[in-house]
Amino acid sequence: MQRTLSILYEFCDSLLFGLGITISLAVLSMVLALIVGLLAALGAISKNKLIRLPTIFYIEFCRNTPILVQLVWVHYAWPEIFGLKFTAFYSSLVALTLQTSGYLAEEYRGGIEAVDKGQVEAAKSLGMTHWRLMGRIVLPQAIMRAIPGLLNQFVTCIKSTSIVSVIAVPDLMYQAGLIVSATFLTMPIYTLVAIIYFVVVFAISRTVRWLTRRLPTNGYFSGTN
Amino acid sequence: MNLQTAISFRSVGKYFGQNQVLNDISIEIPNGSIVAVLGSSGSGKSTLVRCINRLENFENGEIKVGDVSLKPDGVRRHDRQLNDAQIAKYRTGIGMVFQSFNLFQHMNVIKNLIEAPIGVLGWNRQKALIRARQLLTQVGLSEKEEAYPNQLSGGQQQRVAIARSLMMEPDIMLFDEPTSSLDPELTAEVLNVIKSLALHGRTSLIVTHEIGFARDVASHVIVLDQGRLTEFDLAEKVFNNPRSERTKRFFESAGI
Repeated sequence: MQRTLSILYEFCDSLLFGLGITISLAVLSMVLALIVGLLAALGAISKNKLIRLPTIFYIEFCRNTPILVQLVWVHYAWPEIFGLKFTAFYSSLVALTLQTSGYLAEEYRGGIEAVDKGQVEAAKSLGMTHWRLMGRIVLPQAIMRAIPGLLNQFVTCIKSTSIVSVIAVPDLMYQAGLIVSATFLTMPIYTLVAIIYFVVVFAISRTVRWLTRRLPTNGYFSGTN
Repeated sequence: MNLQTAISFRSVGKYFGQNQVLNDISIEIPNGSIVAVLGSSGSGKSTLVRCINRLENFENGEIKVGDVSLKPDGVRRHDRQLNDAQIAKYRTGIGMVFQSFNLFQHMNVIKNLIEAPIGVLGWNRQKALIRARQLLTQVGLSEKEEAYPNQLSGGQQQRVAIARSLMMEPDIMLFDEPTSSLDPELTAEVLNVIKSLALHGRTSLIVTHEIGFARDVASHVIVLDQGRLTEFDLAEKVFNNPRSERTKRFFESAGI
């Protein structure tokens, strides 16, 4: 026990470094996915088939392929298909963004469809063009309504990052693997890793739940509950 | 079309699928007239009014409003008669009040009023605020500037909606069952605002079930029955001497 604790202490820094990578991957891919997902949602409701059909295909592809498959596909196949060769970190970022943006697009789309059509007609009758009424009337309400769903996808995104260790991104999971192969302390290390993931993800999902309940019921947030 | 005509329908026909909701409608609505659009549910009243500001497309005929001619849109994008920007500009001259108020839920009352004048007409904020406050006073809601729509009663929301459409200084006003979702007490306050404020000098079409109100304010009456025009004339003629038996029975059932 004494020995285990001192080894854990010794490797504390590399575990923290791994956690840093995990969190950065989750945050960066979430930020990118918030943008890509919104564009995809707008594309998916476009009246123009040349925009709509490819975008819907993109969303469905992202949602209906496993994250592990996306990851190895981006990392090992994109160099040949698109001539794009990334470091392991950037391949992970791309794959996580693909996956998350597909889900976020659906959250946005749900938000957009939930905005009452009457307001759209009122905006039209006041002379707003399609883009003006999207920007000023529909999206502000749609995005606010989508916030709880978007935040929940962030929780999923953090958990998905653990897969990136398979292409040797030095995240928390990968660091744990290294320490295990150096020390053979399989049980304590993986247990500790499970606890770290649990604490981080549980803290964030509780915060999400707390935030969601505190959204005001007026103005931008009317209709969220 | 002579100068006195504000809106003219020429053989307008519209279908929802197989169902013909407007059947060969031809009307000339004189400038400045207040037209009550009557008829039982499903007779095409709302659709008729919504065709005027292009919230509905139609399949046959032509609608002329001022110097704008609306013709049926084709299915494809390049078959459109008017592009998005042209239709938007055309709509600025036509105010519309809806049955369900349709206030922008994420904006307070004053922002609902100034949004389109600033964003669409390019007014400066100061001018828009001054006009908005005038109108809110006129509809009796000057103390509700900061309230959000879901904090207002239905009658208050509808008065805000009327003020919002008047901000655009439209030549034409369309009312699509403006009091149908209000209880009688609130109906009266909204009808008062419509009568005292919205109708002045504007060519107006009012789809309504309030026959008493129609009788009070309308200069002309349109009666529709299953998408067909059964009456269009001066209000007193239609009310006193309807042409069709169907209209007579309709008025009798409405207590006239």
